[in-house]
Amino acid sequence: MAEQEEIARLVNALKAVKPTHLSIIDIAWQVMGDDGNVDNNKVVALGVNFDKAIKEAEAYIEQNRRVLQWLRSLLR
Amino acid sequence: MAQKSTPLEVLVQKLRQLRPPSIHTLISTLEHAESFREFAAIVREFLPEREKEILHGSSPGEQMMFFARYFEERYFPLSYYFATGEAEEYDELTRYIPAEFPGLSYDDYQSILWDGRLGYQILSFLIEDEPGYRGDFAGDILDEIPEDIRNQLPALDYQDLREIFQTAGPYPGIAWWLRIRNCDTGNVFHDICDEDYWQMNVPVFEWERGEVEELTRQWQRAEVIQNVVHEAAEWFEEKPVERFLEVVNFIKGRLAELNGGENVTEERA
Repeated sequence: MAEQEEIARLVNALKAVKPTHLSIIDIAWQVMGDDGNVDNNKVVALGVNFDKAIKEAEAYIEQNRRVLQWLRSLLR
Repeated sequence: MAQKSTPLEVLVQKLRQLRPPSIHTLISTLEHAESFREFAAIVREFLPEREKEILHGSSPGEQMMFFARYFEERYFPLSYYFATGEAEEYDELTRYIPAEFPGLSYDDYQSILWDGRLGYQILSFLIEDEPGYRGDFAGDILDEIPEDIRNQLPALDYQDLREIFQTAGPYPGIAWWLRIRNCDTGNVFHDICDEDYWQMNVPVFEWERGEVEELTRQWQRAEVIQNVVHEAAEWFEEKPVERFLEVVNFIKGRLAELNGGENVTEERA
């Protein structure tokens, strides 16, 4: 297969990746105060355990790292 | 003439100026918020009427300092580290109950032998669980109790003395001191020392209502035990020689009873 074709397939595959929704973003919006910093009153009032969202975000970072590593390996 | 920027270039510039947070930054921020949330939950659970006062402290250290002070008034003491406002991270307080355990460490005990209060030196002198142990003593006991009187004390290890001195017997202060000295009181505040707890050499206590209530009961009991021991130390200090001899005679009498009437005490040479 020609290199151009391989690149086209790869690009198409990447285009098919659906956007990831991270709950950490939602939580960050909910606990942010008017000054852009975390508002502790909102944190307490929200009553949500952040650990799950943090773990999800960490897993997302790790998956991205692995994809990037794989893409880089294709360039060699 | 300046080149006109494309809309995308403007967007890139704006984003660079605004520095939108990376996910790493969000994680770090929310981890801190999560620690605060856990701390606030502990405050609400155990000191609900102080919530505003504590959480309005100007820094985590100040908030934890307020919490430690009010908590001790109602339950039991937390590590001095929190009461002084030195702690910086909520996790230090929330990961487990950072109670203050005043059990005797090796260093604490050595300091009693070398230059402790006379009453505590006498209490400690009663045990001879290793030959030559009494040779480690220095200070008041050597001045106050003459050598010939000290030598009348039988050489008995902890297990023998534990049998002789019952906590419900005539010398409860001595009985408790022996048990404190050997971490055998059955009370966590006397059997655990801070060093072991902070290094997690012993199981830690979680922030649960049941654990807090149990520790509170044990703390109240620990204070009673400590007072009984303290009274025994003061009792020795009032008339050191006379009371030392009284206890020596009691030990010899109990030994005779335990050995079926035969006095088999072994006096020190």
